[in-house]
Amino acid sequence: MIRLSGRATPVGLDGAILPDVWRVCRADQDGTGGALACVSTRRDIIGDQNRIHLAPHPGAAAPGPALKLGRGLAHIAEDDIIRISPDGSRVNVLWKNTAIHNSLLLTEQCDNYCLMCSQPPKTRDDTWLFEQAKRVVSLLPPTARILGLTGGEPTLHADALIGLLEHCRDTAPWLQLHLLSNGRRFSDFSFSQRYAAVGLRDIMVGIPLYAPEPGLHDFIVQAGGAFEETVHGILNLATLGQPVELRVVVQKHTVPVLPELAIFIARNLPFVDQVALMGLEMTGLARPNSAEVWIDPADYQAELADATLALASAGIVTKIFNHQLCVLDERLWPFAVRSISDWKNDYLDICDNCSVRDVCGGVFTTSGSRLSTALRPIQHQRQQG
Amino acid sequence: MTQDPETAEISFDRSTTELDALQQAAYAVADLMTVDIRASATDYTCTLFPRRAGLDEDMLKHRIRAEVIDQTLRLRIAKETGPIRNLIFALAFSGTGLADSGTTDE
Amino acid sequence: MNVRLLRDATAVPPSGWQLLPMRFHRFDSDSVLLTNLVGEHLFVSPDQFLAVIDGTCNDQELLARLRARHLIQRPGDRLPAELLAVKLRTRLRHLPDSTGLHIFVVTLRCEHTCRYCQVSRQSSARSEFDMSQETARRALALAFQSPSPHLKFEFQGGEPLLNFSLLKWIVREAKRINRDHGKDLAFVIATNLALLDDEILRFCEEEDVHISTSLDGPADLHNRNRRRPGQNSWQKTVAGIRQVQDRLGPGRVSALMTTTEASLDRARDIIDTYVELGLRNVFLRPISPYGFALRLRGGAGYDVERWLRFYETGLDYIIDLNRGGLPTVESYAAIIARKMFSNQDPGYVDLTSPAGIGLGALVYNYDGDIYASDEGRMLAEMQDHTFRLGNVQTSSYEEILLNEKLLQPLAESFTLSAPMCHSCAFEPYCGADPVFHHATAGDFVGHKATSAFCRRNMGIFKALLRRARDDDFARDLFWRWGQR
Repeated sequence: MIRLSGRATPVGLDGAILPDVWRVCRADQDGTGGALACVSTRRDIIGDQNRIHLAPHPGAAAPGPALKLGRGLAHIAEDDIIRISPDGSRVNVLWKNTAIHNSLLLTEQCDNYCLMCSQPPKTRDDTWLFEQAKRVVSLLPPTARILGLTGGEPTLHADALIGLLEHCRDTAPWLQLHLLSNGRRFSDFSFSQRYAAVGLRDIMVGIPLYAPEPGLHDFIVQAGGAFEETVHGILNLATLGQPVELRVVVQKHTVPVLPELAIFIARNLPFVDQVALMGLEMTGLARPNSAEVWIDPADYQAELADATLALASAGIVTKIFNHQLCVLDERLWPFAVRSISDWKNDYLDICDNCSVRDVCGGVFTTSGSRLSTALRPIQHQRQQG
Repeated sequence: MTQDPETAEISFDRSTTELDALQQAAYAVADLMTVDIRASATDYTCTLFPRRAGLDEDMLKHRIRAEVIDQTLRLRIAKETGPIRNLIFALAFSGTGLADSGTTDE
Repeated sequence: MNVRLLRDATAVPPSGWQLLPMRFHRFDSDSVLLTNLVGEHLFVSPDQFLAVIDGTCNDQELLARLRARHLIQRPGDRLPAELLAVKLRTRLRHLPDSTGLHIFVVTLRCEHTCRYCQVSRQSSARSEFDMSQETARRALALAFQSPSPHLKFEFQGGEPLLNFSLLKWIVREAKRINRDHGKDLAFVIATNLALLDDEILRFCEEEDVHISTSLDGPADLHNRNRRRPGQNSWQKTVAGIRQVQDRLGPGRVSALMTTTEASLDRARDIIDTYVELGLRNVFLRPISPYGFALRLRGGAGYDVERWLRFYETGLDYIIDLNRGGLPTVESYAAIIARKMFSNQDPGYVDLTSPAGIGLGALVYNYDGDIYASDEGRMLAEMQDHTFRLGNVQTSSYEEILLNEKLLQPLAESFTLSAPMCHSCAFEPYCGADPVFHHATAGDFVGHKATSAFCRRNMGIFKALLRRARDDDFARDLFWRWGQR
């Protein structure tokens, strides 16, 4: 678990710090406690200088104008991409180079209102996030491989999103992109065509689907008509040959219909590139709604196994996210993926004794104490496969 | 008109029974009996001719009555779902894709 | 709690749903089977069934399941019609790809004299019953006019290995012609394996030819019907199977049984024979009404109920083998499972609508006559040429496929318009068999209330659905069979 934002103290810097997005590179002098320097795409920064030194902790020395980083940000390293507030007092890590999962938040607005939303929607105008995302993409190191695009609902700002995607195509065509969306905008075929016309080499849309019929799905996403639009959107994307992932959050309401949903997907949407069955993150709206959504994962292994095996035998790539191996039915271990983003991922103390800790995904730190009662170390190495 | 003693007779009220349903029912029970249907002002009178000896008359009557009920249901479902069935077939066989598209390039 | 939109706002309102195309069958005394337009099914109670039709049902969970299975929709929904159309289209998309199976009867000669054989018995020596190379050449030319991207050439007889030289020529010639077409070709020899030798094995290995043989069951059952000099048909067959498995690989040989009255009490023995030989697919076949089988019994129909008991015994035994960890497949059930649990067409010409005659298979007899199906050829042996479509010497491709002799049975037997079939809940799983009904009832449709074809198939559908409903292991097993 690592912190993605924190305080900083500017030293020897006058005027506003611009631009806001910087890539971290190695300092050209060493022996100063590992101070790192930043580079921007623009050169008109701080006079002729285009770099600011980062002191890894308040006490470290710096050979010039610097930001002294608060505790918790000492992990910032080469090829990370950060945002610095104009007055230099806050630093946000936008891209962590050593992390497997990196996502850019594009908006907090959304036209669904899922009962268990981990990123509760806000209405304020935040389209500047798209511009920031473009700058991040411009600064990505050549080793960057995978980038998530999330929200809120990114497709609410169609022009900005298409613009960002085109920017990705032009500046970082080697990226594997994963766009999270409720899919509803794609029911507009002309928008889907615009999306497909960008011509990205490797992009998949991850679309949540919570039930095999509108009654339950619309209730869970708290929006009437959502199911029709979402599935219509999925069909449009398929017509245009665009990769689609279906994401099913396993919670109290979806558990009883999980096997039926698997059959629905196999019969109606068999072309999807993968299905992700996802453990619940008890954060955001999931907390006040916990009575509606919380269920101990140990109590739904039968339904999860039914659904997973039905999908897998139908030839659909199926993955289980956010579940710990001790909680999962052993038949499902081959489907389990270490999926929790590094910055909110941790293990319990009891996991120290677990023989499969190294291949297990661990827990959400954001779920606090709402964890399965079945968590326990596995003493003997089980057989693989 | 003399009647074969092995046959049975059953009547259906014309005002509540569709002839279509009755005919389809008669067809469907042909493994057990053949049915002769006569219409009067108020009724359809059916003479049931068992296919082989030993078939119970009550059983035959139950059988055809149940079949008329089911065929009536089938006609009702067919009538109600006819339009959407045609729509689905039209969609399935349409030349363009199923999504709304402004263009029809193939 | 943050819930603004309530569950009943998104659910189906009381009396507020529309029926989608559905068919029903009174399955047993307390359940009704419902199927939607594309064969997805659901069981309900008789009362629930009426309540759904009448609009009085208030079981929200049932209504949600009906909605998910595209049996009902809320007024204003557009998606169900779209999805049903996609699924329907998928199920039918193989139709333009005629004709996939081309059967070459390369000789009528045979050294067996099987009691149920539907082909005229000819002794091994008379080569006037062999197909000529010229006939084969013309037949190949016709076959390659099929739009289908996959062509399967099946060699039958008599005993096709008695004309092995022509068989070899056909395989090589087909591949040569295919250089201009780029189709996916497959070759199968339907042989009794008694004449298998090294040369033949080598040829099959080099040219990627598969073997299909007859294995009726244990030796006593098999040899009783399949007569040859030395009375060692079973021994020869088993030795041949093993040879092919060893030399070419286990997947290169499959076996079919022919069912007779004597088989009906021996389901487990028959399956055991297959399992012992490592044959994973067992096809529990019906007793054929054609040819010598008909003649021997004076044309009487066999007892369908007794056959269904045989079938269910075999099916249950195979399910139990799977339960014990031995993956075995009942082939007919697997074909039906594909129609029940997926939208993919299993490509089985004997259970499809429109019927598989001509569209699914064409038979080129040794004398160049072209038949719409294998059974159609067998009828010709009894002087019934109803299904003879032409001759390779005189008929063009269009004349064969657009022949009234083909179009009429196709149209009349089509299940979506045939009496009783069109409203049958099992129609999506079933097919049209105009040849069977012509042979047994005198017309292409038959009367389904008395048709052994209907009774047998319906019995099988019910056997599968009952087990899927009552036994989760069977349900999962059939689902897996249906996906492959």
